[in-house]
Amino acid sequence: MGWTGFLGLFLLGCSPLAAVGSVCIFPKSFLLLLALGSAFFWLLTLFLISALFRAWAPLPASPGPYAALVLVAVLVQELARVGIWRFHRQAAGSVLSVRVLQRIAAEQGDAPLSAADRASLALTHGLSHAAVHSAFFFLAWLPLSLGDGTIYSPHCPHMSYFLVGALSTLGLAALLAGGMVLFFDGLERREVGRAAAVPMAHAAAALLTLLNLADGGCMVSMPLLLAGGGGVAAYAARVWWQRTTSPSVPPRLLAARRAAAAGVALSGDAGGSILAGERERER
Amino acid sequence: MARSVLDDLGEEVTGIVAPVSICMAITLALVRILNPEGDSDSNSVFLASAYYVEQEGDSPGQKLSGAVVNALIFVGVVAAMTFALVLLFKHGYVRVIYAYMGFAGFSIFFVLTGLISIQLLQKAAIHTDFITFTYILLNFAAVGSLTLFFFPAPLLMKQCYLIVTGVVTAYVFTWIPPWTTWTLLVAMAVYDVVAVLVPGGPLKMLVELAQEREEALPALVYEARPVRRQPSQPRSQEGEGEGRPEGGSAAGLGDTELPPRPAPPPQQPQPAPQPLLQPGENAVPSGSGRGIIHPGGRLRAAAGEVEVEVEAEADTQALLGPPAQRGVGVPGQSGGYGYAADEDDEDEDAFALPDSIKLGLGDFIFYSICLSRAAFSGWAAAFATYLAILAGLGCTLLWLAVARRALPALPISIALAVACFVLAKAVMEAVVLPASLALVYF
Repeated sequence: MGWTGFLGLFLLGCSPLAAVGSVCIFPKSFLLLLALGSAFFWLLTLFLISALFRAWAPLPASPGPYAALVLVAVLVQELARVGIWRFHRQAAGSVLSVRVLQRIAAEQGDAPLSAADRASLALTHGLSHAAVHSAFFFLAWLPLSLGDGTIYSPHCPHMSYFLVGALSTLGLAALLAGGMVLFFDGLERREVGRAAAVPMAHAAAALLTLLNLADGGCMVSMPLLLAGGGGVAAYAARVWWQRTTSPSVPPRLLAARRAAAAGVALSGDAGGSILAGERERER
Repeated sequence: MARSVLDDLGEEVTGIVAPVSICMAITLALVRILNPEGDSDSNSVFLASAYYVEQEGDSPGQKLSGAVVNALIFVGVVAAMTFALVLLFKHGYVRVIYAYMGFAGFSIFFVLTGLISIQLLQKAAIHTDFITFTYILLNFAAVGSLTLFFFPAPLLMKQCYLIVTGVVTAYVFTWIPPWTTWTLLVAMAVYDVVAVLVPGGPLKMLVELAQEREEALPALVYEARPVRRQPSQPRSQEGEGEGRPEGGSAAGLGDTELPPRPAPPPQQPQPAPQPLLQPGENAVPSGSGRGIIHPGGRLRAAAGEVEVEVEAEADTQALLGPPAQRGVGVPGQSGGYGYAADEDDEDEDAFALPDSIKLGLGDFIFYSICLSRAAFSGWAAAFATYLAILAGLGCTLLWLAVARRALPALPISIALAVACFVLAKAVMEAVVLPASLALVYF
């Protein structure tokens, strides 16, 4: 298709999230470094998933084996997501954890991490996950489109392989990026149900792509995937907006923290410092 | 409104990660444009194929054994030349070193850059006349070699010339056949460990000599110096270039980086001319360079280039000094990570990076070679290798923050890169590619 097609597909699949990253992540050195570290972590996760199925590769193109692959892959990635959360909140010796960031802020006289900062950290992990997915499921094979022809999947003669890849990547990447923001927000506010919805949405989206193994399935799966990704991203944006424009600590949590916090800062408790930061921002 | 801690945290690290990424990206682009088929040419770097010329039809055993011997010869020559450099430095022949480096830099900027530019112009079907081209190239080379080694220049300009040096040299090395390249990378990483860490290693001796004499390291070293604010300094008080550590300068066009000042030989009066020294500047500005040129006039990844070193002057003293004199609260000395908490002082001080991080240009070159060679095997392997190299660099910087001494920057990155390259090719592609072709995503 040449360079025009290549560029068009690239922009279609990657430009929305690249734009979000350019605005929210790349201008800040720490977030950029965190994104690179997180991307390496997600790469290791992909290696682990691949290693588990390497003995049977290439998998026969039927729903059974691919369903197993998808379920195991989602399980591993969701466990990795929980690992990132624990590292993010509780790693005592790491500069990447919120706890240490709060101490650095106090030392430097900066404001404690605000709701927007915490959402940025979550978005960084989410965008890294999305970027790794996009890189290895779409971008790595996109240069093949520079040839004279194009590729069609036998089950999806309606759209080229690259177009399906671009749109599916866009949908899934939006879901992964937005899902991380919702996951972190849900756990921070101790709303486990909302946090648990993210892995389920990821599993549902991944299972949805199994429809592509059926004739004409891509005509169903792709719009649903795009809609799901767009919905999750929009919801994450709405949550971000709410957290950054209104007092974000729920009344129940606020009462508990007030009872626990005699002063402004609770030693070593990120929650207390977060609360202090929000108060300062409000002032 | 108070500023966020995320606004400038980690700038010293991105100051190194960004140019490394730029160098790798430009090298990769050059390779994809000028050598899209991934051809090899054993004659491109004679020394890398001194014993064995890799042929496609050879067995893997032959290729491996030949590549190992090639790598040993290469490392041996690099080690010998580094020892020669140490001897020259030790006996005060610094001017000889810099004259040699100036000649090497000019050769790179004029000859190699010229050859690559001609190929690019031909590829883009851009016509130019010989006189104009030579005039531009000559000016480019003269300015580059003079500003890198002899005259003051804006830091950004120096950094750009260093990146050009890295790109051009790395591009030449990408023509080395694959088995020899990978073996060479591993061998250089091992040599790097020995040279920097083992007592008597040439790089260790060189760094110790430079620190002992308080002189600039005679090597091509990329230095990143971010804008740094003082603790508790509100944003409103910061201006362009304010808040930097005393004696340092922020990267920018407005800042002038002084050239290295060759130290007077011992027991000898040193006549002028010396470069200008401004009050408050470090007496010995870093960012000085060294390159070793083999008789063919080509820059090799010299031993002195592959290291991360801490600031050679005040910063080093601050970092290596007694705990009471360093760390948190000492303006201009502690890094952005200097966070003090009562009971964790010791632990947290252990993770303070120096104000200025330097990375040998050889690391830029070998990272770029590694990535470009991986890209010949596919983009998935290239992405994995890129992430691994940067992860390795991050680990090395963490190590630097703990060890606070000159460290080898190749081993972790190259080990991770090679491992991830193999995993990507042998494990991941076999699973992810069929899934992607079946339009199954996770």
